[in-house]
Amino acid sequence: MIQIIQYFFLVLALIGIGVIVKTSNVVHAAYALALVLVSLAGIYVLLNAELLAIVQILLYAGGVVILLMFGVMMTNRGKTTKLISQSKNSFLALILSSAVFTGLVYLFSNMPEVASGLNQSKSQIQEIGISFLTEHIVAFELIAFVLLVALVGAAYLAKISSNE
Amino acid sequence: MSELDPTYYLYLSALLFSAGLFVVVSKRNVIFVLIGIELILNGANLLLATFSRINLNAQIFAIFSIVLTVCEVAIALAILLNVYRKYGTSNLDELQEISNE
Repeated sequence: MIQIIQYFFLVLALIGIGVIVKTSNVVHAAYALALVLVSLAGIYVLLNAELLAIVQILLYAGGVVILLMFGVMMTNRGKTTKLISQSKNSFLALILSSAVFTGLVYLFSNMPEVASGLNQSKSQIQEIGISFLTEHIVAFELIAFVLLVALVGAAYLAKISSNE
Repeated sequence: MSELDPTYYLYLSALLFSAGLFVVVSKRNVIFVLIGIELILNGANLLLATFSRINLNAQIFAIFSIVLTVCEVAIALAILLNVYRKYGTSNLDELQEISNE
């Protein structure tokens, strides 16, 4: 049963990746990105990383995709109804990315001792919460500050030019 | 009830990384390039989540990287908005020609 769910999320992610690579419509690509992100959240749950799945849904599927949609809306004020992206150097990009893919797969398939260690799993959400507030407290506070500064900075950047 | 071999997730993360690389190199719209960067970062996050079974710090690192990605996208879209208001295009090649003039 769990294997069927795992294959389901894998296939969903593959469909999303395929759509993003194939399409030239930016809105379709953003929807396909949402599909990939949600299926990755499902995979995180299956990997017993529930907190990561929640953060993924909240920040990626809820935040980043909406931001990208706003970007599409705000940079498409012309007469056209679709935002079509041109492609260039597709063949070169295909060669480059398939070379990287082959190299990574070769790397991953040649580490049996690491792969065997991957099979033990239990949910560790409590340990993560404790280590956020003890071992990684400085990074935790800094990331909150960075997020605040980035969002205020983004609002400021978008605001100034509207007054010109 | 047997689980799938976790190395499938490693292969999926490799595919995410290379698909993101393809999108970044070949597509010409700025928002499309941002989507490609998202794919690359998600490949890295999936790798970290898979290896968090061995070391829990990987999962914490993945959460930090997600938050940093949100900051990056917010800033990038604000910059893109300013560029679009000034030059009226979001195509990388046209922007390159404008900056060469």
